[in-house]
Amino acid sequence: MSQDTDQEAGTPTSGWTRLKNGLFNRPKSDQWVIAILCAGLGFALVQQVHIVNSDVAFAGARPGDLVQILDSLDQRNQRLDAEITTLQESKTALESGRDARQTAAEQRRARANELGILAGTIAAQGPGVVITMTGPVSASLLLDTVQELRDAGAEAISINQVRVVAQTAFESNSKGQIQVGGRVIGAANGTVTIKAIGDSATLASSLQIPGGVVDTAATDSVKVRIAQQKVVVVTAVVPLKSAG
Amino acid sequence: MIAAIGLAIGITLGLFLQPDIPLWLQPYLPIAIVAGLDALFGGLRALLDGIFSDRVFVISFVSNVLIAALIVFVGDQLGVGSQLSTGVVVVLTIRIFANVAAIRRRLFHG
Repeated sequence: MSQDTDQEAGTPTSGWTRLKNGLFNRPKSDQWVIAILCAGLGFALVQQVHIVNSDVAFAGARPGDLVQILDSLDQRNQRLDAEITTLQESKTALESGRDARQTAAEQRRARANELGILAGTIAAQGPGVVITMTGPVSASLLLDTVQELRDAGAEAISINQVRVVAQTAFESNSKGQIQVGGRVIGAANGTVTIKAIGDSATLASSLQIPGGVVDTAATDSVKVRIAQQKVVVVTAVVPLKSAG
Repeated sequence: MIAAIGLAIGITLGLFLQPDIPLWLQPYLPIAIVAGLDALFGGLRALLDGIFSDRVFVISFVSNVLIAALIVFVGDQLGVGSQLSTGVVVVLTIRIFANVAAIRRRLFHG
């Protein structure tokens, strides 16, 4: 179909011709109203685009729309607040969890230290007493002393540089020497030095009770000297043995 | 021709002058523009049909704009302003499409 064969309704002119006529014919003088209207339309169009694109977009909004926008912002705010609370809770939980782990690790270290001291595998230091026995010390006297000290709460005991632990044996050998934990600690008439760590006053008084270690020693003509010291160092250790 | 010139002048003025649109007018401006566009396309269609009349165009333009604004105004008073504006825009858009379809038929299908 051709554009130039417009015979519709008997009119000889086509749409294109009319468009050309409309565009290029000299306008009639009373068409100024149309120009004004079109100018107003174009003006308003540009203004509206400007308003929509500018920051004051809310200025053209209806009160209802504004309320809706405000509502949605409020809801969003509440959602974000709730999210903040949740995140803070989990943060607190994680932090306290870390603290708990640290505390547990510290407790384990302290426990290991304690057990090491009790088992005699590590050196110990602290307030305590130094007991010096001079005379014919017997194995049973040493055993009594150690038991008395343990009852009084001694944590670490050494006799002449031999650490006393749960398995330590006290015995007299055939030559009359005293063996502590299998090691000879000197002649029967020698000097025995016992170091004990614990509350020094308690340890000292535990030995001095009537009929206690000091009295027993006296009957055996063993001289006992007890010195309370603020710092006693027990360096003797039991060598670690592999389990089993 | 004079319509195209007017449109161009208006757009230019709008670009250079930027007056504050009164607040009460702002909800109606977009609707009025769509109504004006509808009238414009209607006029173009009438021109191509050879039945264009200045008076009819002016009256249809003004009444289109006024009625569209009135409908939105009444809608605002009734609390259904945004729904009614949507309705007006839909109807005017359909009319614009119909007019453009008619113009296309005039120009390309003989």
